[in-house]
Amino acid sequence: MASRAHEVRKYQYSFDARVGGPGRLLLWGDLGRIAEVGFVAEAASVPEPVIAADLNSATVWFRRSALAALVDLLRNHTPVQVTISDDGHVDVVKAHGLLDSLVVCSTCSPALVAAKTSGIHEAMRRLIAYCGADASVQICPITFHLDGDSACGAYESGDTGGFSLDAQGRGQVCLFDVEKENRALPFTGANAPLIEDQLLPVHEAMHAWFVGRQPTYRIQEPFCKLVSFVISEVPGGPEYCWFFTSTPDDHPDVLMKYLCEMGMTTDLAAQVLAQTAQAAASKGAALTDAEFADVVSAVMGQDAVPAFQSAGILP
Amino acid sequence: MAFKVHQIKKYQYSFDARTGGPGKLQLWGDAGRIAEASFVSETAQVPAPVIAADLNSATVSFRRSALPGLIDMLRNEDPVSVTINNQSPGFVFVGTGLEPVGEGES
Repeated sequence: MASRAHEVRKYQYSFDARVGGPGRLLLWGDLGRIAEVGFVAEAASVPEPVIAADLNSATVWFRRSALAALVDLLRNHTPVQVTISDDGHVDVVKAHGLLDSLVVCSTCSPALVAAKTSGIHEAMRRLIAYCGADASVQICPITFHLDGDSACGAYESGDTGGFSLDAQGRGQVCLFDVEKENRALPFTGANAPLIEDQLLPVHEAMHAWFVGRQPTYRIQEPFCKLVSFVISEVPGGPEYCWFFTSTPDDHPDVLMKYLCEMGMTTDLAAQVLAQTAQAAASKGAALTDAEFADVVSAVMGQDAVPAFQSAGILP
Repeated sequence: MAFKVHQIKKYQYSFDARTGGPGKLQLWGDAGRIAEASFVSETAQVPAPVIAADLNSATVSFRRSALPGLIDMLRNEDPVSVTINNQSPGFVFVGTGLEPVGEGES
């Protein structure tokens, strides 16, 4: 069985005076119309879905009484996803996003986990707002591990943490908050919910955000760092080019040094990320390095390719 | 075939104690009343819309069960419009524009 999941971006519905009730509900994604929904009377049989061969669109029917709950789902929840399968199933579901992230710790008190969960969720809310898009529904929910466990392995001195995909393709972030010796703030219930304690969760969540959008580490890393500074309100902001000015050319952050020399700002970086999300969605695949440079050029109003060349990313 | 799309600016509805249910729902635009909707029982035939020749207004009917959804749409979505189309036998839609997912109630 094959299936495709499409995130619903917009919806449109009507009441039809010919039938005296719900008319059509149209669900739209980045690539166009995903589904057209018709409604039948409560006592009528529900027609089988009609599914496009490429699994990119479908025509489906629900009973009239389902409209209210469908509109509630579309209006009040995000992300919403339509899954189209070649076995004839079409599902409209509340999908998972970064706000549904899980936080686990095998050695923490429930109160400490709750405090850190509160801080991470607030940071994820700000991250989504700043970037103009959530992480891919395919890798969510993401699980944040606060200590070394079977997923992250045992902590070794100097570990900072990291993002990876688990065996099911879901995101997982190892933070080692419990064991780490070099935390800026002690790992306590009072500090855990603070936005300034979310620097590393935001950084690693940004690596998750880039999944399916841009895969190059030397592009991801400086943007992950910048966004983590912005969201966790690192002192010295809201502009952070000062941090990158002396980055050596062999460092993975160096692209931001050259973009800052061109005039990159916190606001422009947000536009770059939002347009990257849109461009990758329109393409249906991650952007190449050259395509990402084109996005940066369009946002900055000047050719950004030399910055990518200086950073050793483009030839 | 021709059609006009009228944006709804205001709405007004009532319950009629004679019928013990929804009375009339009136939809108003900048140029006046666009549509007057009546409500019929779930098992009754829905009368065909009556459309003005200039396509600026219509008299329509919905089933009583449609009223909560119509009110929810008028209250929470923006813009909401009435499409009046004289293609035989004539149809009238009350519908939203493209609404972003997850925007919440207005």
